Amino acid sequence: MLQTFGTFSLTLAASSAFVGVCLLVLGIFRSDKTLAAYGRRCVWITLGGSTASIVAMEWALNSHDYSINYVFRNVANATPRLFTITALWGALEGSILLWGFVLMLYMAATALRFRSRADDPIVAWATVVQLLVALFFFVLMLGPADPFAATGGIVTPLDGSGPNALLQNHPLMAFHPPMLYAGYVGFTIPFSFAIAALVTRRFGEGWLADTRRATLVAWGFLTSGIVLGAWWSYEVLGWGGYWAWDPVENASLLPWLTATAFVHSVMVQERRAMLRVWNLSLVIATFALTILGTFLTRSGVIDSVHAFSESDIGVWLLAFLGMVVVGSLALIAWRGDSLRTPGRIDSPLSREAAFLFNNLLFAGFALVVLVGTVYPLLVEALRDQRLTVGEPYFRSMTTPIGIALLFLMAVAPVLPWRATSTEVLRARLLLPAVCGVLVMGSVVLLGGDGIAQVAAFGLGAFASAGILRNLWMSLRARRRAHKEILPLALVRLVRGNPRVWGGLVVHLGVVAIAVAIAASSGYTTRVEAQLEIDDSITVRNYTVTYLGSVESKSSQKQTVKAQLLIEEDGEKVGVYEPAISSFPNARSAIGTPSVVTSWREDLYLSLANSEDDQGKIGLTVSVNPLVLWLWIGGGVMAFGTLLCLLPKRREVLE
Amino acid sequence: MKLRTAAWGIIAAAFIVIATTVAIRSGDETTSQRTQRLGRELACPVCTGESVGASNSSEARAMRKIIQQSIKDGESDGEIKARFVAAYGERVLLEPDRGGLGVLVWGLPIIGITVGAGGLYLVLRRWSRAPRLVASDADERLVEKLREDPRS
Amino acid sequence: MKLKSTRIAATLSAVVVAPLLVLFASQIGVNDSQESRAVGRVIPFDLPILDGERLSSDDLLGTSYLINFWNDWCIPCQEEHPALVAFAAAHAADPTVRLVGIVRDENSVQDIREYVAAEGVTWTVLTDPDGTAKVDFGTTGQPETFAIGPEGKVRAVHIGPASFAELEAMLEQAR
Repeated sequence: MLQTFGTFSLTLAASSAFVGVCLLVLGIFRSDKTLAAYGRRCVWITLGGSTASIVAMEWALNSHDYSINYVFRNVANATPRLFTITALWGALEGSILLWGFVLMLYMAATALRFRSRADDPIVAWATVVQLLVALFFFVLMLGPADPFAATGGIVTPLDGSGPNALLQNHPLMAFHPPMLYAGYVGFTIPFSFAIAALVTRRFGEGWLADTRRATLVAWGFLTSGIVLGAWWSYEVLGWGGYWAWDPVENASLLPWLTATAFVHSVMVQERRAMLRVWNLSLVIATFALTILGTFLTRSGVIDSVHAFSESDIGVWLLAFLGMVVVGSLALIAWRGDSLRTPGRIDSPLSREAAFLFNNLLFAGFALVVLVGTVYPLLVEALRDQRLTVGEPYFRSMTTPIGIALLFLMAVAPVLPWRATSTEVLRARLLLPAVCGVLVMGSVVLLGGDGIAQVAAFGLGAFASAGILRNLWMSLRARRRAHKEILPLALVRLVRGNPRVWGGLVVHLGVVAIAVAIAASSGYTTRVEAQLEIDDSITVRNYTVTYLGSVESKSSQKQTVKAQLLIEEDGEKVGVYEPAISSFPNARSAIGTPSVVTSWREDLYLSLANSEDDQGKIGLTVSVNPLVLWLWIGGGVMAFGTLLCLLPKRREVLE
Repeated sequence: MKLRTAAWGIIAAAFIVIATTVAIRSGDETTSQRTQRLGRELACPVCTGESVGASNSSEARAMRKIIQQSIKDGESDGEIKARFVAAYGERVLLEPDRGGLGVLVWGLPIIGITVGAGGLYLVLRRWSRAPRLVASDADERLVEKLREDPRS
Repeated sequence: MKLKSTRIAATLSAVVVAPLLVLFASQIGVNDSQESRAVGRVIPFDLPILDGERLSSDDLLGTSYLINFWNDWCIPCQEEHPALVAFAAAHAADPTVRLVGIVRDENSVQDIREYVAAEGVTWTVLTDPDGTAKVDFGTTGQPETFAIGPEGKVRAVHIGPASFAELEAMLEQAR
């Protein structure tokens, strides 16, 4: 029943997307507004079909309809409700279902926003491109990634095999993938407008203004998705880190890097009408990288912790990627020479020049990540030899770029547009530089080492002092002019130019993350120990005492928890219980770490093995400084993005 | 004005002192630091995408023990890694080779960034050398037209 | 002249990207072969015998022998077990042939003792408490069997449970 209904909704969605494309294209060429209007309505029908398919799948999951293979493979009778719901995006077919739905939501929002300009060719063409992308995903779901495929066999099974063990361990799993998808998918909107701009020859700044919000929303979701993913990795995977430069992580970082370059270089185009080809390329690259990422992680060509599926969807994704890349490049080449503008930048000491450096660094960063991720595939194809490119490569390549970006982030916001003198710069940067040097000095006095770490601390202080100085000066000027109390002045200041202040708040979040990365990558203490009952181990100022183990069994998993008494400087903090679980459907046991979090540092406990025949547990204890600030920084970045989305309020002059 | 120049002088001096201190300090590694670094540089042979340092698998734990023992026996990083490469092949190295095809993975990004930086430098220099253009009325109109995004 | 550059850049990018995509396509569905790299190498070991002295690769020079990595809780090892028993029985009288079991990842030595007593393990069983042997042989699981010639070089490798005939064939290569 549900199966038929689901397949029907998907067929409806796919066919209405197809009809929509045909009607719109015909309508545009014949200048037939009625035809185009019918075409636009197809967006809503597709949204309806997509929604129905999601409802059908959730219904099937929650009613344990094991006649559907996806349900059979991803839930079991004993699976808790939360993980039954999240099983929708626990595997390939379901996540493409979600992908399609999120895409339709973005398209519906776009359609609403542009309903008064619907006949504008650029909007019409953008809708065509969006529908084409949607069509591709719905065809995928009807073909190689059918979420409603039957389980097969004569008898419907009575119980399912349950979700992937790693995915049913933590509630963060509920939020991290949808966030990422909302980020990935959102870039379809700027992409569609970029293509529409190329098709309609309206290369001006219009399409940028039209898609500014969609881009920011997608960027904000992608940022939050990446940070939540790191958090999940830290809280669930139990290896003590949050970023492993795993291909799946890299796949989400790549579009983020190009999109971040884009949100900066857009400002140059808006101000100076320059960089048109570059911005179009960045948008197209971002969209193409989201598809490449999906390909890399979902086609089974690369091993990864997260790549939980193999299927023949790879060829389809690759073909689609090829069409996107070659089609866009052909359009740029075809239109190319009329895209160029005679702009110029007056001085290397100007905001726009800083944006150019920023773009160089982000593009370089993306190149490092891309080359490092794709290289193993290349070697395997050419030499039939398996390799892994991991953290040491990425660390040594990206650290200098990251430091340079931090420096730029500290200096660029104080640079005025067009040109400036070194005199102005010296005045504006004095206080931030003092803060930076003071912080670096204190880090060194406290025993910090590592050039990159000390530099990150110093530049972080430099950048945030610059931002706070800027805020302070503007507030002071405002209060003098308007005689407002401080909170009101702050609100009005931000509302007056939410984009600038939101951007600076995002920068503060970046500072928090950069400092946290520097501290946790350089100053972590990690100790492995074998402990008998009542043994203790001291790591820095923490004492960990093993009290005993508790075993628990359910039909879903068998868990051993080690009870550890934690004392900090001799004072009791509490009893923490890192665990190790074995799931019937997983090969190896999965550890659940336990983390004692504080502002200053995390005490990270993970169980390597339960009691052996000598009664000893294997325990890994690490003290990871400042990790909490990663998540705080992520929250601040999301908040800053929200600020950027606020409408600009013009002051009413009395 | 004088005061500000002096302040910048002090900042520069302090920066140099700090930088040299850090440069001198970042030298010797303890055995456990070296074990951890080598652990990060080697891939766990039975895991997907985890390093020897990060993995809890029995192979990774054995490899950590071997690394520790080899360091005590005074072996070099190269010797320690060679032992694992002999057993499991190059895929246990998380850092690609710098020779052969590895030139691509190390070289491409560096070349890309260098070329980009060079291009940026050249174009900025040309712009700043060229006399500032005085826009003619026709230019202004052209820019205005392109900016306005003519609806045609 | 100058105006052509966008077109050239776009074409160039397409020329770079297209072969890459083809290359990716060629990798879809290709399974990574996990071949052992042990063949042809001399892999020294020196491990404690279960409830006994030590045995090293030097002690075994001059004999042709099979090393079997196994474990008491591993189900494929139990499937393989009868073949090992038959192999040991067939060569019990031949001093130039030996079978050596190495326990990979023991949970408890007591369990191993019980298994050895209950399942009729007549051959030498070594434990690998530090995991050096399982790493040096490049094993990734159990059972894995290595055939070693009299000069100490690995001649053949079998991954997964082996049949009696396969064990015999490996011995032939090790002679």
